Amino acid sequence: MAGAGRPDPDLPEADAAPTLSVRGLSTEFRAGGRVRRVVDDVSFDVKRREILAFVGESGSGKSVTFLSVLRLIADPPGRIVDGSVLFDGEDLMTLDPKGARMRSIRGGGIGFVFQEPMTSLNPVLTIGRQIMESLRLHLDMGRREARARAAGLLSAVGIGDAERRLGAYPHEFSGGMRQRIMIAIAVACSPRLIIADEPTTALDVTTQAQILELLAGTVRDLGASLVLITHNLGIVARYADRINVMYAGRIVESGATDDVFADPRHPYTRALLDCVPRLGETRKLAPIAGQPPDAGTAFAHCPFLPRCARALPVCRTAPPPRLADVAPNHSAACHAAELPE
Amino acid sequence: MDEATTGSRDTAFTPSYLRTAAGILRQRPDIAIGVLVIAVMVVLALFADLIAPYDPNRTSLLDSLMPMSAEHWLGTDSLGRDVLSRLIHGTRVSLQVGVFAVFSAAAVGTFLGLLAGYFRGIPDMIIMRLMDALISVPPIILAIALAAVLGGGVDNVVIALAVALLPTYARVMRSLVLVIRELDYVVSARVAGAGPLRIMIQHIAPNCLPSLVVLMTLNMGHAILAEASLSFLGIGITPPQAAWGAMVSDGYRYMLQDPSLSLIPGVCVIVAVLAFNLAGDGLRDLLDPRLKGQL
Amino acid sequence: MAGTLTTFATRLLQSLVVLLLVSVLVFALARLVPGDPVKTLLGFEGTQTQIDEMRETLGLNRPLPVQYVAWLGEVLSGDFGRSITYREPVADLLLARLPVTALLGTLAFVLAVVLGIVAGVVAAVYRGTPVDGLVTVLATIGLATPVFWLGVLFIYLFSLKLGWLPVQGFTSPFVDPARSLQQLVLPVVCLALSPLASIARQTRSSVLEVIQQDYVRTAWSKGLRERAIIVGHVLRNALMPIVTLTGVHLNHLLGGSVLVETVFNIPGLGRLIVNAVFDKDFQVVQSSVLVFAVIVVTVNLLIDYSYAFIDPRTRR
Repeated sequence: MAGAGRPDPDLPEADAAPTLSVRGLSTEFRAGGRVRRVVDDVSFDVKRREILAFVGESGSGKSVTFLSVLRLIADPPGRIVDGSVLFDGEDLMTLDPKGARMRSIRGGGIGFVFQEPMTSLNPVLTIGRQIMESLRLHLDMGRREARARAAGLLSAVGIGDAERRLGAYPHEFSGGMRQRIMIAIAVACSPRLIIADEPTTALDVTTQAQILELLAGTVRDLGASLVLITHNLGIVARYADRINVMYAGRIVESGATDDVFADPRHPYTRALLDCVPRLGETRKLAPIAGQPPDAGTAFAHCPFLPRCARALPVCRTAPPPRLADVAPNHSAACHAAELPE
Repeated sequence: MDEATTGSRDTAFTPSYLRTAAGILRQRPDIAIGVLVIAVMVVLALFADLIAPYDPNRTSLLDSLMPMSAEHWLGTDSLGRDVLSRLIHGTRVSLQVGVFAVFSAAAVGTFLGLLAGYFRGIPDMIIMRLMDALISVPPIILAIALAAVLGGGVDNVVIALAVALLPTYARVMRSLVLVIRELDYVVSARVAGAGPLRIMIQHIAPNCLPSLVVLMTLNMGHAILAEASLSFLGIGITPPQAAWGAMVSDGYRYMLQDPSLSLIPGVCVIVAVLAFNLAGDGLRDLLDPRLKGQL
Repeated sequence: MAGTLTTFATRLLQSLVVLLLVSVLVFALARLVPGDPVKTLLGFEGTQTQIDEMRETLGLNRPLPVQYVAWLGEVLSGDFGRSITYREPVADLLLARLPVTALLGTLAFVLAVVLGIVAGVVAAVYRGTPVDGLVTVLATIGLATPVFWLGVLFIYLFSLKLGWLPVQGFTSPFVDPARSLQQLVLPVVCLALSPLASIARQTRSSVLEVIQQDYVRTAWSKGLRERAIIVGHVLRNALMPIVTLTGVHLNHLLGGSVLVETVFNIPGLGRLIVNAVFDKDFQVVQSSVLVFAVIVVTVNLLIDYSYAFIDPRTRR
């Protein structure tokens, strides 16, 4: 039952060029004399109108990947050292991060929904002003027009009495409503790509469902792509068309959600799925032994080796495995992935 | 990131702090300088009689207003007194006043703050309004007025400065107590029947110590500045006692002949206050960064 | 809205209570003076009978609380007693000196706030660069510099050595603006240095903290220009705590004005109180203390009120 925004193969867009195409992205952070490579040689596509999930534990590099895409990495201490990011055919890495073109893409072409609704809105500005800011900047609207559109956006995300509430301040709203406002801001200029970084982690379960429905629905209506960064596999199962699993700054498995869930090829993915209780099953939940590595640790061999139950002798000597196809549209970075189960 | 910060967040004064102290000094040269200068001043103040080359009050009209020389490293003032010796003795006055004023203010202020924060209600209101009243008179003016009433002299300056400084301690202490008394382990102690005194001594006081130390160090700088200002105005010292502020004032008349008479004592004030400020800021960063906004 | 009015009233009441306490303290202060209060208050020595009569006339034989209430009544109706030294009603003296100190203080305050905020923002935005280093070092030294010494230094440099500016004195700007400006430059800069240094440091610290906040990251993700982010998002939040602290700065400024007026020989409230202390003119001393307290409390009250406009979170 995955993919509320599953690309309809009958639509001409199914084979169109991807909205976002990342190749070899690597980002490092310098701290206390040490250099940590937090994102290591990451490559992936975000197809048109699809919902792509990025899954991983803290420190896996999923947030930094997309902050790098938006060129929001502060330099110092961070630095994007390599890679190309093609957004609608244009390589964002060749742009000046503070320049006009990059700025017009931020908010105009790519919208971002952050994790913490309680602190992601400026407490001293009205929410109307915060929504209108984007509209007036990217769509060059006059105040009246922007106001009207902002009110429309607020209604669309489910906040009643929109016209009046434009003059309200963030502290007058609950966490769930603030996240709705964040979504309104992110989609205000009809971007072609929306990145939602753990949009529901800070919310209670009931609100989580509402927000995700809203997000998926909005994206579908806009005809945009959605990148859903999360560690919640339930959300992935319900909404994502495809999934990328990240570990230690690399993508270790990638494929259609149904395929990956049915036949996980990377031991980490397998272990993650084993952690999730499923209805109708009675079995012991098996937590993954060990701790995820600190972000940016360098590895001579496979980073998952210390925690892997299926390690082969080759895993201890070979360099870290690279993503390779193990099935049509399904790849994994594991020396043992191609072997039969 | 500063490893010392992450290390010392949990407890303030464990024996291991001696080991990390060396590490801290290496990482933060500003604190090292501050501490060093303070140490030098303390030595000068304690052993002024031994260290100063001349008796600071020995006058010699023949030698008045002499420039810097081998015999008088910083020259002599209008009454022929050796400037260097007077500066060294001035260190004693400044530190004495500072230490007594700050400790008195801390003692009384924290006590009041403790009462206000712990018992709340009417005592809180009364104490805090009183503190507000004390704060609403600028410290120098308060000191001047008290000096006018109680007379000049070092003791009264100490009292005056202590009165001017104590509201800050009361306020900081009160805020700390308000937070600490609601911490889980303190509430459990109350529920278990521990009396207020026991709670204050066992739980609240140790948690306030780091902030208090920071506050006191920073206040030393303020106290020295205030003392210098008062002695400049002629309040708080009885001539011929050597005090930095008074030296600036005395030397003012002879600016054209020898500006150093007036300017050098001021530099001493700057150095002294700077030392305490650097040390205090450093201590604050290490012990309790969240005080950054308040102090 | 009702909430705001209640807060308004509460704060006002608190301030009045504080002022009342100050008046009690001031009154007690005067009574602490050792020696015969008659001689103290009137400054003369006469025969015992004269003194006794004076005592009766002045009501000094009544119980203290009654004396206090009477004194308070006089103060509130504008009677601050007479000055021994000047043989004038103290009220007249205060009225003459207050505008001078107010002018000096206001100019210094404005200078300190404007320059301080600019320096702090620049230092924060260019954090880690030599500019930041310079601002931080200067501010740190500035905080340790005694105001009176700075005055002496300025006089030496700019008046005696370079001869650019007059040594001392005061002219009303209404009488001779040019000369007034010349005479005010040094004292104002002198007075402004310490609060300027403090404000610069606090602003830098506050801006740095705000820049790390999530909502600033949101502003970046919207594609706003850096300047728009700093002015529209960062500053408004960063300056709020600075506003709260202006009350403290004012306090120190008033203290500093005492020293500056003495060094530059400016006929303001500060110099009045210093001279009065040496002349043992207690009426002047206690009245001046009262006036300073009123100024401080009033300004702090206004600052508290302005906070309601600045921070929408306090309006509910």
